[in-house]
Amino acid sequence: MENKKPDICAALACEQPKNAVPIWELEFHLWNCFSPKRVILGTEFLTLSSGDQEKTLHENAEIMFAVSRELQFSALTIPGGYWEIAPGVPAYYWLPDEARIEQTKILKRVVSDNLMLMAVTGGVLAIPEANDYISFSTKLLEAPEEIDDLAQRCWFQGIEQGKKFSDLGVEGLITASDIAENRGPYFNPEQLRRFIFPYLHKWALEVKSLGVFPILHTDGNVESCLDEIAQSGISALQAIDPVAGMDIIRVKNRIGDKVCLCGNVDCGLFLNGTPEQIYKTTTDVLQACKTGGGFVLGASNVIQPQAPKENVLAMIEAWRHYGSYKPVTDKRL
Amino acid sequence: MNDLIGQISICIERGKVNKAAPYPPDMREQDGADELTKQAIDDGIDPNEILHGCMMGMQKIGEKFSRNEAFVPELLMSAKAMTAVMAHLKPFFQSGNVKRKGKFVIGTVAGDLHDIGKKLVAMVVEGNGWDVIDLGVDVSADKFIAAIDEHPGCIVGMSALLTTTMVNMEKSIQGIRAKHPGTKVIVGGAPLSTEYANKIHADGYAADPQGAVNLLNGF
Ligand code: B1M
Repeated sequence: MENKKPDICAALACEQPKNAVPIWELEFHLWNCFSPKRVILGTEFLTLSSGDQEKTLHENAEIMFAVSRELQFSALTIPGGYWEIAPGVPAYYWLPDEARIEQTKILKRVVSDNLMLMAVTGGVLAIPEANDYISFSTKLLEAPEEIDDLAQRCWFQGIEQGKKFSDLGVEGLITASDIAENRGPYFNPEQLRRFIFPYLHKWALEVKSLGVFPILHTDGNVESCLDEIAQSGISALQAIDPVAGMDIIRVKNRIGDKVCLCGNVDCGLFLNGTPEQIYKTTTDVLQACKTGGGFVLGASNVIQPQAPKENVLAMIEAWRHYGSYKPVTDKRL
Repeated sequence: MNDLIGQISICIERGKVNKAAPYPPDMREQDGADELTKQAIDDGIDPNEILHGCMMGMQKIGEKFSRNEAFVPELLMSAKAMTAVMAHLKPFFQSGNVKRKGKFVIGTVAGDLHDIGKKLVAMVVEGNGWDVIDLGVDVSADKFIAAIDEHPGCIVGMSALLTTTMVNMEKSIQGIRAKHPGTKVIVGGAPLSTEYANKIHADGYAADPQGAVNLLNGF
């Protein structure tokens, strides 16, 4: 089987891969559409007996690996830690802490050196979930020293988690830190300088010292702070949120020599677009970004379970036509 | 304009809640929206004028936000200052001495938990003189309908941030129209557009809080 890891390693190092543009999804929810067996995660996983949990983790790993191979992924994001999308409502793509560790170990054995494993381990503050953003925002302005503490703790925990997962063989660590919305950063420039960029920098250095790629995921429009992001030392920026008007060509021109770009087929289009639209958008993104490397293809954000599988296949089809770096006449992969 | 009203307006615009509040730093130790409103009432200033001052402050910060000159946390602080004013005005609303422009029921639609944009719209609309009932996030059609039952004549606002949930707006609008045919519904949120609003028979689409105010004031 073709080993896809060297290509993503090259791209994340901002170099041109030998074979093809690597494909990686920040969070993929369609495993079950591409497999006769079912990945079991989240609350459903909790209902299993401990024996069945163990069996499930092995099956999950086999399914994820098989589907990743079918879809030509170069990397796979392991399920996340518990997070609530509302009080008491857990997100779909998570496992309890211990099971997450176990899942990572099993995945590592299963994928061996054929795929890169990625994990969201945090490190930098983001727009808070649920109602927390109100007190968070008040503190940003009224008690900034409390936010200093929060940022420090977030960084520290991110590093601790990161070490744990890098020891298990994870090679890309992600801080999923939405610092912006459609109009621009959530934080004002002074707050970005105080609470975000110093921690992003420290985090990137520390992660790199583990021999692992530090990746920042942020939605929203971060055009006004692209230089700070590039200078932070992260290996890659994921999302380049098209909903927020981020133009990946402009981003590539500005920071593409310093930071690998990962994205940015609109995850919303996967839900309500046609395969033709996905094919066209993917083609455009590939043609705009692949030159010189430093680019990983994927959706801008999570591909949600409601997305038709044909749209995922359309992205792969476009990649087969336009994703190759090989200097041959028929470049179809 | 009365000087006190002008100061209240500035406190709202700048997010100065009360004297103890450390924000904004250049207004430290000065009276905030809380103290100034109390003083204005004690001085016998018409509460309608106070509300007007509040509206002006909120409008200014809302416009700054629209021009991308203010950030979300700053708008939230303005809203906090406005809440301090409203607390003093509450008895006058109850007695009917101060009239609001109307009732506005707002919520993020079913399945969607994005709160921030909806909250900002609610705050700016309230600051512009409307009585706002915020139903929160993940609001079903039934909840919207129950709120209209409770607040007859209200205008409804729906927010959605997800492609998967904007379809729930259409369902909610259909449900509302079946029970309360005359109710006006406005919609907003990142994936929406005027075309989509027309398609689902909403009465208006607003891209931002100020846009929502403009729509409401135009009905
Ligand atoms: C009634 O009249 C009106 C009038 C105007 C109205 C209005 C109503 N409502 C809004 N407006 C307008 O006025 C407001 C002020 O200007 C504006 O509101 P906005 O809400 O647009 O702006 C706010 C002031 C700030 N903006 C925001 O708060 C949204 C910012 C982004 C980054 C975002 C955030 C923060 C979050 N998210 Co989510 N999130 C993203 C967003 C990226 C983006 N590009 O927008 C978006 C919306 N998220 C997305 C996704 C996919 C998800 N999110 C999810 C979760 C979350 C958090 C909880 C982590 C968090 C919300 C925190 C909170 N407390 O609300 C999940 C869904 C949860 C759920 N069921 O709702 C999850 C599915 C991710 C996951 N892995 O599960 C994407 C949706 C894609 C799509 N097309 O469907 C997304 C566009 C990101 C992206 N890059 O693609 C206008 O739209």
